[in-house]
Amino acid sequence: MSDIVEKTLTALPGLFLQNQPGGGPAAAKASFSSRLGSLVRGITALTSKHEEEKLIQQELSSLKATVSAPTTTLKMMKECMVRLIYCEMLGYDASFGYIHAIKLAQQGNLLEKRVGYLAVSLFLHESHELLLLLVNTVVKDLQSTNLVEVCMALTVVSQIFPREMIPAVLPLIEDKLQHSKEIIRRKAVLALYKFHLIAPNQVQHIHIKFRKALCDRDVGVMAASLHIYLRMIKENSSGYKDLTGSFVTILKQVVGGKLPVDFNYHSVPAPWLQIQLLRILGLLGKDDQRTSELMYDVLDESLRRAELNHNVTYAILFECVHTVYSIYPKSELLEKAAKCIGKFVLSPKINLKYLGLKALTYVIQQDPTLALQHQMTIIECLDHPDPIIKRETLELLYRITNAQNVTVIVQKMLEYLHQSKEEYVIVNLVGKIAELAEKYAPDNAWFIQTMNAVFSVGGDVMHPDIPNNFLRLLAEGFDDETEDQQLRLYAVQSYLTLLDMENVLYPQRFLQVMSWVDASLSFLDDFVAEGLSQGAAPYKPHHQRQEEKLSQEKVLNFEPYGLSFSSSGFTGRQSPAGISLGSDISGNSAETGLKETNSLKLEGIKKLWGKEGYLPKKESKTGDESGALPIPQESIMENVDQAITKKDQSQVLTQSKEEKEKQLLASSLFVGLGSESTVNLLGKADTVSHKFRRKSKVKEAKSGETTSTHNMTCSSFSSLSNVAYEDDYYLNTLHDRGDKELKTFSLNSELLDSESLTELPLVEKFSNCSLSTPSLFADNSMEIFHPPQSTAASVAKESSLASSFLEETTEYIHSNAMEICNNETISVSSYKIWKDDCLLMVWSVTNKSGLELKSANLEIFPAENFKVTEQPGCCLPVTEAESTRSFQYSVQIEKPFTEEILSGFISYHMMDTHSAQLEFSVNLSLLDFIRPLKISSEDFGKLWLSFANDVKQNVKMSESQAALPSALKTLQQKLRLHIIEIIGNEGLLACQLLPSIPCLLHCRVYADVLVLWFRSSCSTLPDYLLYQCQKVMEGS
Amino acid sequence: MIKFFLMVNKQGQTRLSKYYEHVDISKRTLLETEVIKSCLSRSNEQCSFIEYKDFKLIYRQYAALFIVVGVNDTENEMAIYEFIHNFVEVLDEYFSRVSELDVSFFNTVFHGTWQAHSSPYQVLVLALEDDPTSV
Repeated sequence: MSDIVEKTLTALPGLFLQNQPGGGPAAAKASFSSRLGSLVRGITALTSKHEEEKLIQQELSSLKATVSAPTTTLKMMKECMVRLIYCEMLGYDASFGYIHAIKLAQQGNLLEKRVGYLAVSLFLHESHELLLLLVNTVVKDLQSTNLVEVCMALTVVSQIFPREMIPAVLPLIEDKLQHSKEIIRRKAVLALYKFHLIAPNQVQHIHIKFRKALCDRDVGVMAASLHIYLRMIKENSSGYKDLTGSFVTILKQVVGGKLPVDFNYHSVPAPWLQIQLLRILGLLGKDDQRTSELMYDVLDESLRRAELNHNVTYAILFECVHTVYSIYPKSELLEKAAKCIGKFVLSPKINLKYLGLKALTYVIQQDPTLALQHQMTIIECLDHPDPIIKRETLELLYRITNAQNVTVIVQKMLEYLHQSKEEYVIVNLVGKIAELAEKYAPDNAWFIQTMNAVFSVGGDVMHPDIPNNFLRLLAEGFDDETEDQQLRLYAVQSYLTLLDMENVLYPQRFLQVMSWVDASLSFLDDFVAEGLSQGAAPYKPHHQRQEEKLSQEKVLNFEPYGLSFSSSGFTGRQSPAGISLGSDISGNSAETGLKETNSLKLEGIKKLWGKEGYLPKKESKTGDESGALPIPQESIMENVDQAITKKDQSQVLTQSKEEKEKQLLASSLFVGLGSESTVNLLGKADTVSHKFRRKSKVKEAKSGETTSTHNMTCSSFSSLSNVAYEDDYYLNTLHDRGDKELKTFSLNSELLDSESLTELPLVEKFSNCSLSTPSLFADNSMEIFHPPQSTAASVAKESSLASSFLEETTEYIHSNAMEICNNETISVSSYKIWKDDCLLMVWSVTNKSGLELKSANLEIFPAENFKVTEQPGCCLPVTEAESTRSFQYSVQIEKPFTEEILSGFISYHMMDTHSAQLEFSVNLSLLDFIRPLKISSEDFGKLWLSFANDVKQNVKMSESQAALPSALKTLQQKLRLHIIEIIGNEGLLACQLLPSIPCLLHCRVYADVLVLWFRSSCSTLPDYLLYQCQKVMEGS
Repeated sequence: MIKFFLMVNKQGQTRLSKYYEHVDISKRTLLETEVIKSCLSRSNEQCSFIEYKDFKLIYRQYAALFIVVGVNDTENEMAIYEFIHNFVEVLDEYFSRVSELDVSFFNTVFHGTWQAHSSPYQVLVLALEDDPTSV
């Protein structure tokens, strides 16, 4: 039994003399007669949840009365607090007692204080407002001469403390690092660890002191400091390489049994400490030969010593293997580690087998031969009755997938997928299958069938990137145009077959994909006809259905989760005859459908369907709701069968059938690994050409773009392929100013949301000209895409206009040209170019009259907040009839603002000397002047401390942004903030206000609250940005 | 990293819970119910680790009491598995044969041991540092 207990117990009296009657079981059993005791026993005796609720509510109301009564003594309060803790642990709200917990910690004697602190740490969370009331008590106790009080204060700080108040206690805690009692030093280290977790910047200056803690003569203090080091090394291993020697020495001492025997657990010396040290070494030695060499010896020793057959030595061995494979490789160690994995995998103990599979999964990419060695075991695990083992095996297979075994592996994954019900598993697995299919698909048919399976099962829970990428792939195509055509044709055909099946229910996303591919929805014609003939209700427009919904109690809810339906301004435009419209053009559905989707924005896939969007589905679903999901798996199966049959012929037929099947499966699973099996210590490069990978490389994208510009009449597919390049393109053009390609960007929501701009001319135009697009998309929850100018004949006018002034400026991102004023002779449109160093406004004057314009002048009224300078642009000497002339002005901001109007006028002379003037104005937003600021986390830290102006605010996040990364992405896209780093639930962002005022943002997430903290050298900027952030977060 | 530590009996009554990241009370009850359900659904031939949402659950059964630890995917399952046992051994020593009721009754003792921020490697040294009596 654990010796440590004894040690601890013997150490106690020194600290806890005050608690005389305490100690040990006797006292423990005695207090069973207390009121908590009777509450616990009362609850245990109950049989139903309902009774429990009744009892606890009763208890709570009596507690409520007691705690608020003025006669209640602290002793009673303590007793109440314990019961409150118990009630809250069972899930009943006891918030009325929180404030009393704080008071108890403030006023009570030692034991009462102890209970008060405990209750506080259990009840409150870090951003709870009551927590601030605790700070004074903590400060007082830290200064106490009573060690127990100091201990309690340190304990509570290490569990929960308001971040803003760290400076109030930090010096006190730093002092405690030198305390003569080791328990105080240890607790101080743990308190500082807590600070490091919640506010790393604030403890940066005490790194030196951590080193002292690492070398402390007390093992406990040293061990506590390892938490901080593990964390810091994880963030930045290069800063701590010089400590490698110390960690190695410590591990050597631990492994060599130099610690007091009290630290043994089942005669293994301090196993958890060893694990911690091994993790640290793994991080330090990663990709660093010199550092790794320092630890080879001790790793070897660890592997050797951990030979005892006990679970905890397996845990250490697992960590050793992990470290050996993480650091710069040494063949001798790898061999031993591999042997160790072998032992795990072959073990009959299920927990050990699991550990073996997990280790194998980790090392398999470095050393695929290991998979070959254990292939039969892996096959057995694939059919293991424990789903967890199966799951881990699939994870392993996922890592060794290549072009040859992809069909078998994906089939296995799909099998598992069909059995699992847990959403998290489905999301995860579906993502992996989609990834493998994209990378390694052997042919079109397989690819489409697999993706169909993915969409049917993954449905509405899967990651939206999957359908997006898939559609992008279909749109972009690959190198071979005929093959692309086949792929698309196959896709459409397969959807038609799927939809022909009766009584079938497909997930929303899948239907969205289908209807994107065949936007005319021609494939639904039969359905609709059939549905109607069988008495299904004919289509009703949205508002009508809404009314019916109100009157009808039981109406099916078709709203997919996670989709937000912004109330649609387009609803009215929706043609009630939407479906028949679709049917009219169904003759050449595939062609027209795709052409029309030209104007659809690919990025918006996840919002594809508005309230009307799934109407056709409603029609088709009127039959049966409960149909199962049929997955077109046949062809995948066939593939597998074929693969197996082929091997079959070369097999000797003497084995038992079952054995043979396994062998076959093995040969199809591990095909391709053998050839690469020469051990590549540095990890194998992924040389497989990614068959279905989307082209995202800059160069590729560009050449593709150029070709299609020359080739304006090429098929609708290639125009789509332009579209799909969009987002990569944007990112790259920022860096590639030198290139002068003829290209326009329609304003992309990636960078600036349409809402944040005041103009949306093309969107309007397109929604008009794409009226033939089925009613599905008329709803404005469908984002409309602006095609590249070169392929959009319908905007020829704009495009010529644009190209004339674009030659100079195409390198930058700009908004769409928008007409700001006009009369019978001229029309003035303007657009913004967001250059790196300024905002460039371009006004272009188009002469509509056919008469010659003698001269045209543009003048800007002076504005308070900005400086406007004319840029010598392309000046045409004479503005001829039907031609344009443009003026460029650079705008510099002088003082931050939220929104301002820039106005001016155009004056011109016609041939007949008649002169005229036309006024205009344009809205400018602060966002027009915000640019990402690309700095490192380190610089961020420095800047952060140097800025005096800060603003902090909690913002509630909407469901769709619930996770930090998605919230930050929103900020990045809409406000052009640069994401520097995401650490756990915190994120660092930075931007600058032109010309060069930096602003830093620190984000932190609690539940659904995002805490935004801005700092800047400018006093007003944080407020303005906060406002914009709030707008963005609420808006989306 | 350990995310939460639970002791729940077969009837689904929580005997001890400690969360290292804030979880709303209402969500806790649901989580505990689901956790114990998935533990009960496992047989002896199956391994002691379960996937639950984005954590792993590591559980051990002592008579009618389940001890379940929720961790994220960077944790070493076996180390936690043994840590649970170590914890129980310590309790057993302290109470000279620990029982389920001891656990619920001495809630505060147990919480006293959770010093180490979701890391088990400190717990033993710290165990029972604070005196539990007279509560």
